[in-house]
Amino acid sequence: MSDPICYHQLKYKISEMNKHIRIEIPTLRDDRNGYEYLIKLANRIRTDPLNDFTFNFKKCSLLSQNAVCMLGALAILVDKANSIYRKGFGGLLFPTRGVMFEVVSMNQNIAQQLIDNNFLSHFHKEGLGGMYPEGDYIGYRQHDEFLDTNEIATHLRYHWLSDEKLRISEDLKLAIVSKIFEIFMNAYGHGVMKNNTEMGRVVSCGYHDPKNKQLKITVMDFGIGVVDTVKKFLPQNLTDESAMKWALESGNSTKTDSINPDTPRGLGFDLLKRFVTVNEGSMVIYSNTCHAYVNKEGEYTVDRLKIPFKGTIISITINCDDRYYKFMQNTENQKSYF
Amino acid sequence: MKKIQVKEIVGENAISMQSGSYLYDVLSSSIFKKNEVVELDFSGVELFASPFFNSSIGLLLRDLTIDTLQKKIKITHLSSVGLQLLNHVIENAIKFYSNNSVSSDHVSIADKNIN
Repeated sequence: MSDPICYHQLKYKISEMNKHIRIEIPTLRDDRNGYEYLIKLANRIRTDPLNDFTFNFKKCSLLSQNAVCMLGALAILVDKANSIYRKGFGGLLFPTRGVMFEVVSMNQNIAQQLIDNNFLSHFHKEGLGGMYPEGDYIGYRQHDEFLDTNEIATHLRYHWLSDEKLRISEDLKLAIVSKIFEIFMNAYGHGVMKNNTEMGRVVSCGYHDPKNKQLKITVMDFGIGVVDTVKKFLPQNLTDESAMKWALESGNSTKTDSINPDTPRGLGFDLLKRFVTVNEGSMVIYSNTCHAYVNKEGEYTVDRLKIPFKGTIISITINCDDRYYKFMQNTENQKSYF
Repeated sequence: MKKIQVKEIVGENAISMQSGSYLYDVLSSSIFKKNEVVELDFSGVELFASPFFNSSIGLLLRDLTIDTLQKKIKITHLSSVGLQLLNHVIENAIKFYSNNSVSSDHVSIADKNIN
């Protein structure tokens, strides 16, 4: 059986490996420039993961939740690639390589953010467990290779959006969790389980902005991606933009799960679009060669990325004000059968 | 009328396709085999996502018309979020099966059998 990681490793000669690569992380905002930098960074590391990477934060004054997500995903990827490589050669002859986040280079806000959002507790040297607290913050999370729906639901509802952290009505909370769950279903649906991807996991990072009463969450995977999945599934020769638009259309699905193919599907993106439109939030998708977002008219706009990304990043911003939820209930133009 | 407590089948999270399939098995047994009218009581079920309804009530529309479905199922204690989602799923399922000629034949045959 072919293993993408093993195949990937064939490209490297031993003499070319084990370089010490230092990466200076700039200020990364939740905007297109930020995403494009992250995609570039991901592509750079994914083509050459068998090295030591040190991330320096001296020039970084802001780190959005999608940047935190990507840094975590890349750390998992490097770790997985290196551990598989070591196993392949009996392990001991080859030095341990990996990712180092230089906490000393971070300003106080960034360091505190990465402690508070649970990020640093995932990435510390062995034997230093407990150095950073591990909590159930609205923050960074690594999800299992196999979808455990109840685990994700419990995390979202009772940890991520617990009453102590976020005071909103139970109805709005359940509506938010329900929609975020659709994002996770999409991530797992694009073949994280089936394709044995370089990362093999889904990662997420949330951020609560109390000042603006907004919640942001990014869910990321290094699977086959939305566009490539659609192009593989459909017989016709679509452009990448058309493939992305097809995926976003209500009722369309590539049926990547293992359930009866005669089951209707394909509502996730439509539900998310409707939700962020009435909630006056926002949503962006980066996958393969395409970028999509919900425009002011409440429709998806798709354009081409300068640099392609193998995988999918979905970020959503939600207004946490019950007024938006009441508005949503009153304006939902939905035929009632029950 | 047969009463089904959904929570006893899926717990408090009605979100996954898997749990939807469990409910579908129970519903299809009552509706197709025993020709019963079913009350689906959602008391205690709090979280909903489309995969659950797609693979339970949505899948019933492969073999039933919407009119028959409305006669065979009574929904109780479903939250407004759940109800909104269910209606959305039903609309999508009707569209899905109407675009599928093989399934249309299924509908007429199964529908005749249980009316």
